[in-house]
Amino acid sequence: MMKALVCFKTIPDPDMFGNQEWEAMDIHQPDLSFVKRIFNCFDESGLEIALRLSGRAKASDLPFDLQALTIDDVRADLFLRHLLAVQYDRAVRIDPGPDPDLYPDLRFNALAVSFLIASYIKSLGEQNLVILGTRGGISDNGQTGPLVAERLGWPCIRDVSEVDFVSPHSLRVSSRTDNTIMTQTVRLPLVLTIGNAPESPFLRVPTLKQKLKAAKKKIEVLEFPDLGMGSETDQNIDWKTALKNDKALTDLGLRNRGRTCVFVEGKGPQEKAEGLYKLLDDQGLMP
Amino acid sequence: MALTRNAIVENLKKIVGENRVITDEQVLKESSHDRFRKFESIFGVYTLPIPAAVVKLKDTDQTSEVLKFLNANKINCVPRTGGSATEGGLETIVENSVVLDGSEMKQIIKIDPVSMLATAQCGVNLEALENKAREQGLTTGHSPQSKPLAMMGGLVATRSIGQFSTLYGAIEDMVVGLEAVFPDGTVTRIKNVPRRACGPDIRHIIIGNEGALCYITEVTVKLFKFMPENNRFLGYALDSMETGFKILREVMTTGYRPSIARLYDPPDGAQHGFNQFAGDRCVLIFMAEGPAPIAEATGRGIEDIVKRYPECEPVDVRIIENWFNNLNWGPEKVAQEREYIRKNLNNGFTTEVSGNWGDIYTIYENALKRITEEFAHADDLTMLGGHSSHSYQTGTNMYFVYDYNVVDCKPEEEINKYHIPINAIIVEETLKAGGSMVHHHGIGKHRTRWTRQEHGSAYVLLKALKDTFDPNKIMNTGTIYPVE
Repeated sequence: MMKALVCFKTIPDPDMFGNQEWEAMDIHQPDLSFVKRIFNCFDESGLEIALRLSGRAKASDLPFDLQALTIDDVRADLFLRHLLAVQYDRAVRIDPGPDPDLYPDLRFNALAVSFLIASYIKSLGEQNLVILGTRGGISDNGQTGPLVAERLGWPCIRDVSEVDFVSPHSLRVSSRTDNTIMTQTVRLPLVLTIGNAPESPFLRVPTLKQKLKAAKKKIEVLEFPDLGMGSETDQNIDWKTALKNDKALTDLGLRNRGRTCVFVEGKGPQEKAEGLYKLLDDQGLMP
Repeated sequence: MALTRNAIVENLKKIVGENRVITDEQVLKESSHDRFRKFESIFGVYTLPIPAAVVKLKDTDQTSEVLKFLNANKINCVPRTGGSATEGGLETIVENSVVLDGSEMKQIIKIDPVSMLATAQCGVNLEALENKAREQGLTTGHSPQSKPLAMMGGLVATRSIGQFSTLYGAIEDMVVGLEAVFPDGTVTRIKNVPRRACGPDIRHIIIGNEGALCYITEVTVKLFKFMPENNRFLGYALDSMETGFKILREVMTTGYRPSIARLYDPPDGAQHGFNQFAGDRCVLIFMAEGPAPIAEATGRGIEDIVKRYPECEPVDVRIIENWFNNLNWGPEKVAQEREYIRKNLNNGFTTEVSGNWGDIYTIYENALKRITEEFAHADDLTMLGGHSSHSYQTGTNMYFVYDYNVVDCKPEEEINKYHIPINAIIVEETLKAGGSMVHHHGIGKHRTRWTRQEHGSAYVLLKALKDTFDPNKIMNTGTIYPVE
């Protein structure tokens, strides 16, 4: 049976804050709590790709278990409920708990996040397919997927754009490498990270009826000790040191994205086109 | 005998010059509709007659010459500027129509900081005019969501309204004077004066005519002092729309004039992420602005009123401010929406109506109830709700919002399967309760079946305007007035 886990996180909508907010921010305690949160776009594509995979499997009467997992506080339940409404079988939230001093800081910390995900799969989930977004929005370190694969000892395919069902034990996976798309048939278990392709899907929207139904479904909540972090048997481990972030936010600044611009003058379209041709030719840009 | 398509084009070229007559097929297709048919156009389907030409008008004189020609030859025209209309008003439903595009008449003629007037040609983008005014510490006070796209001619022609309407009023309260060209080529100027008692206010023949009577070429609007440093935001979560309407009413009838006074129900609020802080509750939003003492007093007055309703819980005002600062729709959001619709086959529409304080909750409740119970494809709905965003001494508007998955139908069938029947229920319930079927989008071409009912015995006045000013019926046939 194919058992898929899609890991996602929610992020402050990058369209809803600008340079001003970044510049005013305290880098030690970045606060974007007032900004509307959305699914991280890479994770969103992964969530939809998994739903399509599940749909195709179920249409062929093949059993397929689909779970969504996030590490977040109760605010993520809205998003998990959305996923239950669009036919995710289970929705799991790992709650960081009220005391941030007890555990490693998860921000930008792919070591700790990948530990929790891998622990969940090994001890509770027992999935054979893990899907994550290639990058995580603001932190964008691109490490969580490969680290999960390493912790599980599974192969990992990055920048995936399409996934199709071949058999209960194998998938056809298309991924981008530089300017080419590589398609390969691979056996499970497997970690896939979803990249940014022009045809990356948006997550489907539940109907009003589906939302009503999902309101009664249960969201499973786990805490760090449930996943071996700070559990009684591991009391001697200093988790804050063991999973200490190997990166630190040291500065926030604006990158200069200025572009030079040339106005091509001319009396009519023909003269302007000739001017553009000459400009490109002069700069050696003609094919 | 009617002129052929080619003859129309050749004659127009003689009047305005070859470069100003566009016959490129894709431009013609795009000019045959507005955002009412966005779903069809996303899939490259164009079901309406393709216009004979799009004429890029240069100035008022040229507009006059073109209209004279069209009138003499009884050729239908569709006036157009920014193209952000949503009600089908820009659709070319008559064969061989000519689209009169004023978007190149974009000169800001004058900013007068003494008399507080801004005069602009019809193709001036509102955001450009607003930015120009702000260079002098002034504002137009007009801020519809379409501000980055909409142009002055279209805004006046559709009786547009902005997000700060509760303080500054709608476009009809802002327009001081106008210039317009009638179908026979007559150029009319209505002078800029603060007020007069010289017969009926003839500005209102032109404001809101939706291109069905004349072509607006120039507009003069009021200016106000721009003092954003005094803006004060207030936000509350509350249990019911009924309470929300009561509070809005109390704020307005007590005499406070916040620039923003909005009430969202939970489904509509969730679209904006309000459920992330308010859960499954309604949300009330206010912004007070103006000189510091007025903004402060307005804010305090509203707080006092809201305190009397224990169910209201204040929310972090940074959320409200941030949301509001990102509300407008520019070309990039339109492009994002089109991509989303294409990939997800999930479309959304709105219907905006108004009603007196005594009726508005009935309209809200009955319309939603009927849609849920009677709409044949209610199973495909993914969102159904609404908000009030423009309040007055005597009542408020209701902006119904609904999204749906487009299931088992061709792109050209979508509008008839989903939006039109829902829109009909809302209009029927509004008229039944004594409200108005259109609050600020204009009638366009798809609510005309209720125009007579909307105006009742006053319809003769509306009809007389058409008969008098457009006797050959060449101005935007099918808009405001039902096709006979």
